[in-house]
Amino acid sequence: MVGGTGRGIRFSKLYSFSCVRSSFREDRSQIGQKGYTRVVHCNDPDDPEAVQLNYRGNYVSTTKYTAVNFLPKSLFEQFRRVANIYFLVVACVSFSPLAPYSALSVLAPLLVVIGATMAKEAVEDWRRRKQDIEANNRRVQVYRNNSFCKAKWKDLRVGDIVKVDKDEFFPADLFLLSSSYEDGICYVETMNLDGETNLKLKHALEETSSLQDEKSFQQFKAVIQCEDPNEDLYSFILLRDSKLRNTDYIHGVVIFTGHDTKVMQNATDPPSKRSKIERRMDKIVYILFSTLVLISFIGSVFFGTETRKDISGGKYRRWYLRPDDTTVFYDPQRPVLAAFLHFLTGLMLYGYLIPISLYVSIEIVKVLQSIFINQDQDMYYEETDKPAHARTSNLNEELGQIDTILSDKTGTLTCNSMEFVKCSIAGTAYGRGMTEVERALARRNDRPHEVGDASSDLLGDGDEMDLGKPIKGFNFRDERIMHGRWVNEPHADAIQKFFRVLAICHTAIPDINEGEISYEAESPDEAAFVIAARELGFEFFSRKQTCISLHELDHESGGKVDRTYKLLHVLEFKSSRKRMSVIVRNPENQLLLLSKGADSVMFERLSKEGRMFEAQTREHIRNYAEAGLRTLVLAYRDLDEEEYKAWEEEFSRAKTSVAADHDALVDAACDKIERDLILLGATAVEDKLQKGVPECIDRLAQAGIKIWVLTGDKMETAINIGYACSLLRQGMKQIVITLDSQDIDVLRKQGDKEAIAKASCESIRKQIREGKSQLISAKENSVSFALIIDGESLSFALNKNLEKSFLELAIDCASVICCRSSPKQKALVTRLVKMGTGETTLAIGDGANDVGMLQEADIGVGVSGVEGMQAVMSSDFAIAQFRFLERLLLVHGHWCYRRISMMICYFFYKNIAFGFTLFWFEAYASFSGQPAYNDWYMSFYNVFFTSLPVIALGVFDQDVSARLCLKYPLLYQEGVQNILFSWPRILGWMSNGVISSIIIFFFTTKSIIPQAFRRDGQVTDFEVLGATMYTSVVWAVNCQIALSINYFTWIQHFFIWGSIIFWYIFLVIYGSLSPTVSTTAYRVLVEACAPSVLYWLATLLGVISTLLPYFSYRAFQTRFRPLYHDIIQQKRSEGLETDDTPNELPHRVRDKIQHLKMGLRRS
Amino acid sequence: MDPNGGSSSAGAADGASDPAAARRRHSKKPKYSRFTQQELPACKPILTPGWVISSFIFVGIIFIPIGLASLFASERVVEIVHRYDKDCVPASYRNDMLAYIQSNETNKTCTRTFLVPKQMKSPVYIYYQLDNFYQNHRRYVKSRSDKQLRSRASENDTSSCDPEDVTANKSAIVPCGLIAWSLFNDTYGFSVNNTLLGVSKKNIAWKSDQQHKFGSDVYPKNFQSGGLIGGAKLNSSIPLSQQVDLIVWMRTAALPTFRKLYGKIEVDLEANSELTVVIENNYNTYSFGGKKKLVLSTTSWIGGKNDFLGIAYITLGGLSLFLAISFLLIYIIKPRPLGDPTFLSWNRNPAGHFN
Repeated sequence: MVGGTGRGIRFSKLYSFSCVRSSFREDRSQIGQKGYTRVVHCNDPDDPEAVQLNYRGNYVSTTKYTAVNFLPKSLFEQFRRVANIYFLVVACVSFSPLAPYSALSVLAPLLVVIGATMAKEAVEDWRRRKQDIEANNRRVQVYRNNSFCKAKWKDLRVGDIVKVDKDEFFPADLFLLSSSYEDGICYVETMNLDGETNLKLKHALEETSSLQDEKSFQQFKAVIQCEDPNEDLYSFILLRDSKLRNTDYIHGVVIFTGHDTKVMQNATDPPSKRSKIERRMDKIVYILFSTLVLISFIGSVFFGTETRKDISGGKYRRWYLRPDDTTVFYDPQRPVLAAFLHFLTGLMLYGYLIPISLYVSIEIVKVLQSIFINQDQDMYYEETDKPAHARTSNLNEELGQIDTILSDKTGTLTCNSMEFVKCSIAGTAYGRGMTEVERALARRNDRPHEVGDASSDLLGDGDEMDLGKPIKGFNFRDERIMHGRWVNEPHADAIQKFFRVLAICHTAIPDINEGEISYEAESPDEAAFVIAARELGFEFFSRKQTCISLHELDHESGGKVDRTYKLLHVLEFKSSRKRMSVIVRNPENQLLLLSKGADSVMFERLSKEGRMFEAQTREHIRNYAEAGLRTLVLAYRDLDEEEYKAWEEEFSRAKTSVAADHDALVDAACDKIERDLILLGATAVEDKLQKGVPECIDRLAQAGIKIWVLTGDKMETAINIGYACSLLRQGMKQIVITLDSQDIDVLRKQGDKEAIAKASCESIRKQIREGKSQLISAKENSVSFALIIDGESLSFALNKNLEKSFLELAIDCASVICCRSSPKQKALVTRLVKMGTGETTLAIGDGANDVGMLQEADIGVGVSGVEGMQAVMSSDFAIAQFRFLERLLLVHGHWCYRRISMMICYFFYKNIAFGFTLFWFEAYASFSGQPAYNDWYMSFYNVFFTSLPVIALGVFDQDVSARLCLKYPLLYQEGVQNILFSWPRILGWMSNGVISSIIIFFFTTKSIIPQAFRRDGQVTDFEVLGATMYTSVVWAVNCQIALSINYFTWIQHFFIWGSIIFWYIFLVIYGSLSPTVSTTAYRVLVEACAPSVLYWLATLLGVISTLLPYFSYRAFQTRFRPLYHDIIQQKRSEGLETDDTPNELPHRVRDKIQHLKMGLRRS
Repeated sequence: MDPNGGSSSAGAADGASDPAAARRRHSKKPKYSRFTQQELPACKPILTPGWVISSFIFVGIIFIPIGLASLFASERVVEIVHRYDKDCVPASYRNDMLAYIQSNETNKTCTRTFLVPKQMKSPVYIYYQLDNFYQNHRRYVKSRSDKQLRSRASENDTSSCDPEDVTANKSAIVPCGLIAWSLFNDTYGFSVNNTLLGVSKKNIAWKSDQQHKFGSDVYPKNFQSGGLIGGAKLNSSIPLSQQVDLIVWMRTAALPTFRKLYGKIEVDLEANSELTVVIENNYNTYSFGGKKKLVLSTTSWIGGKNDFLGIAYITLGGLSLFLAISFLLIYIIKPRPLGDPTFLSWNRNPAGHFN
């Protein structure tokens, strides 16, 4: 329960009063070795040795391409896609006489598609380039020729001395020499790097902190030896792109430049993820490709046999083809070769089965979908001014298929804004507020008014009104000690000391703004303490390097006095120490050691006489933990001068030691003084659940999504939070797997590691087995189970041999909570679920410790909270609050899934319907490879006549409105079970395409051939048939999409009907060009088709008869085998959904899903 | 009324509201529009029973009349189809029809007589119908030069016409290519009750073809002068734009069975009158086993005789009505089957957890 364990490690390194020195000394043994070869000649970049080293300049380029390599490189990127290569090969071959159509008509769509994608790349890269130019040309003061002068960032060299002023960015990674402060400290904001807005303190070497003016630098020469460039962020220097704050200026030496800087070394691309649908789509493309090969093969066999027969016994069968004087393509003497070449022609001709524009259309659609996600007002968080952000667009539809959510707790389910709610001072518990966990517990135990102190939560709410405006980080109310009344309490002395510890023992920095003081603290916990102290009359208002000043409420006079404490030492927080202390000299000249830390380390450090309230305090701490609060124990001790002096000597020896075990020495020294403490009490800080979390989890559970929480908390806290956020519910059976059994404790005391491991493994195996049998026995009662496992057990459960049975147990449980889990374990669990179940997983987290998990999961969602931006940077989607996940999944996820799967199905449909008409025509052209249509009809098919409606479908379609998506979470199962993109459905659409092509071809040819098709006796020829069939195809596929769309806005109408109208317009314009250009399309509509009634009647017949099978199927299906969205639509249309039944609760979610599943299977 | 005062106060107000305004200005809050929030007014059609049934009925009542009308129109058309390829070969050649057609010695003239079954109003269109003739073969379709046909200047543009592109002495053939080379060359002469009937060739070719695709300054040249004679010869003194038979032939057919206009008879043919046709049976369809038919047909608004469209419309209309009725019956018999919404909806359950 020590404030922000994960953060603490990182921060302390950055913050550190000693780190600058220590990290150098530690590594000295390694200097000159591999990885530590960098030599910087300070203030002397022209030194021959320095020149020889030839380190890179400070010029930075983050672009993917340069002007020279853009064309080849981006082309290469484009043709890494198999489909594009296929089209390229086709385009190349189309210049040979093999091609059934003109080369230009093949090349044009390919160029459009490739060009569009390349243009997108170019624009993105141009933006990056503009940023680079801006950064490279920023100015900074550099020490050159004995004075500081302005230079561009890109001209900096390693070894240069630069001066950076307040609120400027560091131009490169710098080594701090001196600052405007005498003691050479400076404050740094690293928002650009990790999004953290709190300030970090950096410290210069004492030896250089006197270098203040231009003169002093004349003589300054130094050599720095340090590590090579690497991506390890949190080490010793001032990082490029971080900002100087609260400090007038600093001087520094450039150590790493340009691409060697930490920020550049850290810039890696996130792992690219592909959605399941896209992977399945690849399979469909393969299927289509096989179909293509198959029908080409069939065609070439027929063609070969027909061609062979053209000459038999010196007689020419089809003499009009001149088989005696022919080319290799039609040579009856070599029918096999002719057939093979025809096979290649066939591959090109039926290439329309594989839609060239599919990939680019999907990309466009996904980008637009992401824009909708980014623009959603319901996922915008006012408080932090953050909208949702889809960082990648290629996983949108995956959002609709999530089976398991793996969630972090702190900062994800909770706000990570710590609120000081309770404390126990000198054995008395203060603080009357009721935490959310307590409320949930109360609900759970059916006694809403018995828990907590006498005052109920109702009163607490009333209090809040009294206070006027709530103070961030402070939710403590207790009339006994507030407003200075603590002086009347029995242990007023202890109370005073208690709050002094809170006000002094920390590393926060005050920020005074128009009389109001706010604090920059390492962690929200710390801020909460300082704020609590301020609210109770111990206002910390100034920190200097050696002293801390407070406005204090005077014990006797009741007035305010300023007291300044001389800060002698900070024994910093480390996760191994689990405590921090300060040594101060108070105005009365007394030496004090003030300490705060986790209960596990603090109680053992108390002196005999300091344990007066130990029992009560322990009891209170236990209560607090149960209420889901984070606790810290506060203690202090008086030091006498001699002891302090002796210790200080030892301590500074330890600090300056260069031995490898430097840290251990320092820790040991600290340990020596941090004993014989006197207990003051304990604090309890609430990490409030974010708004709407329980409701959100409830809905997600109703949607049939399994939720796992992976937290670093203790088991009790985790379970209580589980109740608070409705993850655990009453009536749920808990299966707890832990290693806290007696025999293992015994083994632990003996210290035999192997025996412990063996026994633990056995114990876990047994517990898992028991859990399983529980599950089986309870199956018929439809009781849901929750699995709770702690980190230690988890490490055993994740072993190879237990992994499988653990997973089997876990996936049968409705909720799973893993407590005390490390970041690595989080990632491992995620992988286990992903690999083990093969289902889609989503990980959500907010901290750096969640990064592994986010990258491992199919989708990583970053919560942009207070813990910096690292999680967000490695996520695929970023949201500001956990509750937005509901909308992201149930609304956007469902829609995107539906849109993309419909879109792909339809895309294949329209291309099959079109491609197969070509094939049927071939059957009547002795498979000679003559396309039924004009070249340009064909190449525009995917570009103009059918592309926009399908994009509209992919971007705008909604089966049900957002409100209903949220109201009927079960709808989400359509995605989880992949109903809309199941193989039967895909194959159904494909066969619908084949049927459409058959209907169109045969109905058209039968009705308009061979008789006169007009009153003037003209007969249908090749041109008219092509135009008529094409008209039917354009109408049919566009009407088909109109039938499939659930949501018609003017955009859909415009695109669908516009595409059809455009076909006629195209035909008129193209047909009016010179006949050498338009060839078979010359005046075909105006002169031949339009005046013929038969043409229009044949079109109508073709269209209606192609739509009829799908329409009848849908009519039948919506009525008798409805999918869930059909039911909701039906309810909506019948006006049934208006009778709201609020608070619909998840009852037997599983049953319902089971039922739905069966219903679907039947259909 | 002091403009300065007014402006300064406005300035002050601006200053006061500045931080808030700035926040608003820089706020990343997505702008509201019905478009971005995906709330555009939309119609959301769904297949309710009413819609299903009425659309089936609608299709039915539209389609059946159309079908009846087309069928009626098709029935009104009088069509005579007469196959002559076999009958026009003398019995002695029946076993080797190919030899007959390829021989220069044999008499190709053949007279056929048949009755006109019904009155045929003028114009009566004369077609020849070929069968199993792949005018849509890729080699065949491509074997022409549109440029050459169009203008004299492109006379030598024969690259696509191989092997009928140039003569042995490299002089361009006009019109080049297999299509022109294989021009149909049977001819028909008609007489009714022993009165000769004129055959008009007026307007049997598309106007656009005559005006824009076939040049009036392009004259046949070196045509059918090679060793192998394909089909008809052309009068080299008539420009291509006037060679209507060629123009009709050059419009390649869509399918291997096709009709092409031969001409028109511009008098009415009375019922039961005897029609005599003198056929010059020159064209070789025997080598590929194709039939030759002579077709005489009147037209109606729908064109020639073809019952398919009418039957298809009636069938489809009938099917729609049938579906409408069966859906109706099913709805009446099983009003709320499997997909009963109440069956799957989330209704509050008394055994829920939080009650």
